[in-house]
Amino acid sequence: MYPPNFDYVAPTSLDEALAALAGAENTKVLSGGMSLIPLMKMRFVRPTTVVDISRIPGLDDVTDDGDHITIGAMVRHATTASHPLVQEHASALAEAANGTADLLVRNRGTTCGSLALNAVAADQPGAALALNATMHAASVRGTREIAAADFFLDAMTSALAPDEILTKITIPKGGVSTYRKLGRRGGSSDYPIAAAAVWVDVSDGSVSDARIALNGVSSTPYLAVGSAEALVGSDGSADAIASAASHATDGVNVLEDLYATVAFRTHLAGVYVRRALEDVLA
Amino acid sequence: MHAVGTAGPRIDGMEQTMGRTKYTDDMTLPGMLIGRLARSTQAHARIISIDTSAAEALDGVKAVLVGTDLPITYGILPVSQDETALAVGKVRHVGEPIAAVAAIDAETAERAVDLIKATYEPLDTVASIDGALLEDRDLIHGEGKGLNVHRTAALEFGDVDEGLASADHIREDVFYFAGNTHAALELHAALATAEPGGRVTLWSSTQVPHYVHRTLAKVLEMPAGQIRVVAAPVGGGFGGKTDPFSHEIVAAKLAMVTGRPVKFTLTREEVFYAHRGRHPVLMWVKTGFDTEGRITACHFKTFLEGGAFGSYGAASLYYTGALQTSTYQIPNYRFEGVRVFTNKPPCGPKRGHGTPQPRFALECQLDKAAEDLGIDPVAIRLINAVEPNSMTVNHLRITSCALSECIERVAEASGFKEKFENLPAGKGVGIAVGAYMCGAGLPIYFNEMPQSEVQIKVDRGGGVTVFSMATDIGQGSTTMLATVVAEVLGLEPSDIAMVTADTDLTPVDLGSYSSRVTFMGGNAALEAGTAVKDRVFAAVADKLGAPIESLVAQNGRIEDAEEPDTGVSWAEAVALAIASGGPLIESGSYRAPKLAGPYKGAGVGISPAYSYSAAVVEVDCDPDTGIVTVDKVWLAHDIGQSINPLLVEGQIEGGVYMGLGEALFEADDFRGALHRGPSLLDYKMPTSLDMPPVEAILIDSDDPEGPFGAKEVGQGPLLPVIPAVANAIWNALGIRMDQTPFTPDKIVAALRDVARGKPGRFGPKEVPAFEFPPLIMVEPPEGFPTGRIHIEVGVS
Amino acid sequence: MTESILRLTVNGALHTVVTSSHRTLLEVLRKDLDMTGTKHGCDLGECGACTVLVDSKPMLSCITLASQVEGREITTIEGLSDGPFPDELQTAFSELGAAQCGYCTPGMILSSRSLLDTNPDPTTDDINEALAGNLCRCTGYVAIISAVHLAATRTLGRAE
Repeated sequence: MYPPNFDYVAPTSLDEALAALAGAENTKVLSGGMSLIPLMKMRFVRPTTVVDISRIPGLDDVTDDGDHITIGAMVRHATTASHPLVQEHASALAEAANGTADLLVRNRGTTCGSLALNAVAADQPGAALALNATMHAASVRGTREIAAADFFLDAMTSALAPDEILTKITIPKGGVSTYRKLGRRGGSSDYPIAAAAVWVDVSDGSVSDARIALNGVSSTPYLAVGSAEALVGSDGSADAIASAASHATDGVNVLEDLYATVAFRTHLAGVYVRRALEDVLA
Repeated sequence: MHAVGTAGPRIDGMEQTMGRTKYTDDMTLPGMLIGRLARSTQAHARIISIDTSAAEALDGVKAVLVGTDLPITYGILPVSQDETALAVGKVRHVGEPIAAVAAIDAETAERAVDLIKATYEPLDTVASIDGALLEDRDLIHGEGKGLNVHRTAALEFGDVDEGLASADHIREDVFYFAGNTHAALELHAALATAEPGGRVTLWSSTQVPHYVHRTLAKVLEMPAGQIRVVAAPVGGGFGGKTDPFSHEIVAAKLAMVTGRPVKFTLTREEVFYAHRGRHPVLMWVKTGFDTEGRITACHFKTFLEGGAFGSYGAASLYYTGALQTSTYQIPNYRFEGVRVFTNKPPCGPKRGHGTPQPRFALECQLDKAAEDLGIDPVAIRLINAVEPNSMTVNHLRITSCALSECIERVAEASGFKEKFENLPAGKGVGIAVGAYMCGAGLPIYFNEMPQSEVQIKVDRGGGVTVFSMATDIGQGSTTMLATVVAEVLGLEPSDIAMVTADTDLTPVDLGSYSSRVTFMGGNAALEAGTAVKDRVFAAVADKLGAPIESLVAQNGRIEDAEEPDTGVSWAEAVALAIASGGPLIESGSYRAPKLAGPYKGAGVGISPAYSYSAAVVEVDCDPDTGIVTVDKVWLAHDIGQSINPLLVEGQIEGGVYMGLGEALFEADDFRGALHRGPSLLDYKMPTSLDMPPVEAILIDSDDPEGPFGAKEVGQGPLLPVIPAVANAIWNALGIRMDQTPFTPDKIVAALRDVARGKPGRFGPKEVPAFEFPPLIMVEPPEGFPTGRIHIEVGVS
Repeated sequence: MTESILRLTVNGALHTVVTSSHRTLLEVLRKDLDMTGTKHGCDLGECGACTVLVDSKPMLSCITLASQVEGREITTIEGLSDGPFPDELQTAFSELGAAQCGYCTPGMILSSRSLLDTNPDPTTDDINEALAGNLCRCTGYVAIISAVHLAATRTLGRAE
């Protein structure tokens, strides 16, 4: 199997990369390539120009920026999974990274690449939603910030324009989060059949804020607003958690595929929301 | 014994670990072209036209073939010559090869394939067992409409009605075993050259160079002597490389047409279409028991979905009925089976060939009967277990048999009884057994020739070279043969040079299938080695003036056991033998005793010996998600005698692994006739994270006819694993998994039924109403079950 | 199409390859450099047979473009041994029957090498985690895990 032929550019500065994207039709940004290259081999995507951003310095840092942390475009899953800042302030994302495929993939694939691609089977988008991450996009036209809630449009579709690079994401500090999933092999690794990323803020014994995101359940990750509403203001008791879990797929078009029927996926969505909430509220 | 029974590495182990083993796809020849197959996009259709003109016109394309270029039919079984290398007239499944190209490189070949345009007239798609049994569908083989039945079988041994009438308890159960595939890591590959004089050489990742050789001779219409087939080291087979394949034939033809070497390497997706994997089998089983759990009669019906071609299917069908009696004393037995054609990739033999499916059904039903009767699952197996030196009702000759010991040892090692009664909810243990042949008793095509031949040539310097067509697919057959010869000659396995799997150089061994190589190839090697030893001993006896009987071969020397100091080195001994008797080249062979019972179909299931296994599986189930985690597997295996215990344990661990994959994840899933996930992205097999510890227990029953008493281990240990998992899930959750694989959704569905007050079971409810042919009534063997045991005294 | 001249450092030696930009590292290693120890198993990054080390980390060469690793240190199975002298893992894998058909073995050993480089005394869980991307269809991983332990034990100079 071969990817179709394309022009390959590996700029060494962001400006060059943005210029390359602006100057060509049908481009794709390559960071780790763990999804893009298989997709090209299967002819699902056929770019004529591939812009490899891995040689641009300064994109592979995780930094502490006061009230938020920043994850650069070239930060690999393995780094996201093990980085103390991510573990401390965005544990849902660290867990999602740690459960992504296997070490071979985690050593090359990037967190931002996974978010930009928004594959149904990706782990990262749900965590980004729950953590209220902000996506920072750059193009020759300038930079802009996109809230996670506005970023994941549909399967394999994000709010990024073709000439934009997701240069980094920022995640606000505070709260507690986790990510739980059922993988295709039944374990916690592998592509999720259903997964829940939850973030809660607890003060004075009650849940003051919550975001509950699901991925692998529908064609694109989503925030289960009903679940969060059921939880906020509650004491985080088993009843409150059960109520939240019962709204996990409200108003959502649940996927059916090789691995799960609609009924089973709906069941799993509730189970994983419950388990994730039990974790963070324990 | 110094070599046999000693755990040691493969003789090619370092070559493998240093990355130097050359598999077929690793070979390159000067001027080599790359071949690619164009494949059908239709499940069932008449071919109206195939336009190859654009492909032929593409720069770099050297030849294009279509079906009419290779019109001669072939198939692994003489009774199923229903394949052509490229489709002729119609296509029968998505992915069937319709045309082939040879081009200067892979990308050009791929582009050329994309340029081949076929037009089709669709026919009815048959995509299920039920669909195949409808009378108004287009025939997949033949013209017109009708039942898409490939083969049927209907046999009765003893009197089943009477046996059931005398039973105190009768169970009827229905089971479904999902189809799955081998997924050897090495992709199928073949490389062919044609010499100017006309000789053709094919290197292939095949388990059966002899059968590929015969097929090439037939389809290419060439004398076999003009064709050389070499099985390169095979990167995993499991039965998936046991048929002659389109790409092998086409590679040879394209090499002849272009005058250049041509290599094919299938993609992973293509391997799913080449398939020959586990048949999906629907089963109905009715068994009678007395109050102590003894089986009084068993009636077994199987419905096999065969896919688009015959392949091994006629044998697979009989295998779904043949070996139930090899483990349990079934005094009255009826087997009715039907194999249907469907428009899917053809099924064939996968590890256990046709026997894991009925084994799953039988072992699960036995567990249910034990529950009904208040007997523990160990006891019901022991009370029914077959005994050594007995005949089964369907005329299988059982010689060595340590089944009861396997059951007892595995139950003891696992603490089965204690765990079965006391594990908390969610955790459970299950037990099951199995048996497998040590080589099919008959060759695939009728002949009176040996099934294995081995030649040994000894160099003047003492170097021993063993020539055998036995094909190492990872199971270690090459090391096994070297060990047998080394044992006889007093050498080390690493002293032996091995030339294997080459039709020009090596005498015939039928191939690596039906777990036959240790038993048959091993016996041939033993005979050949003994012939070499006899000559050497004669010469040394002469030189030393010692009686032959007192000579021993040990430590690289031939010594008088009475006076070791007077002996000679192996090299000196060889020189003496050559001086006195000419070239030291000897051969040996093995042919199984004639064992077939007096009925049609009796050739399937007979074997000179049977291996036995028992497994206990411990599981931890999550009732919310349906996840089944296997905590540990204990497996006791009656190996007869380990030639190399390290390799034997490796086969057990690998069999357990493959069984767990089939139990928990693996299934070929189709939407209609279209494979839903022909890639390793979707076809999920266990990783290191999914594999539990395995405790292997080897039991030596010393088979009277096996080489040094040895029996098979490549296939048998898989068999009990799958039902043991199902039985463990029952123990853990109180639900019966009557359908594989036991995926989370099925567990949750069965538990939901329990919550609604329904029986906790996942599985099919009924089998199609199909009229089997009239039963062939077969008398049990004379003096059944213990009469007429004839054991050929082994060459050892 | 970009025809480019790539300078790849493989097993310590610099190789200059003229190739087009869409080719994978696996293809370049196998076809252009004739290093066939790196295997082709699934083509989509699922099986790990194509594993090589890039700057000492295991990666999937079948879904990595050769262009992406220009200037990195690439190690294949051929480069793991020092001439005729095998790596401790290669010996242990052979001794314990951790290779049956041998097809996953190069990738498996390279993933194991990277593990032992960063974690010289791994637990069985560590090994299972490190090898989860390398599928083996023959061994059930049992002998492989033992072999990694054995190589670690020998490297640490502990009693076996």
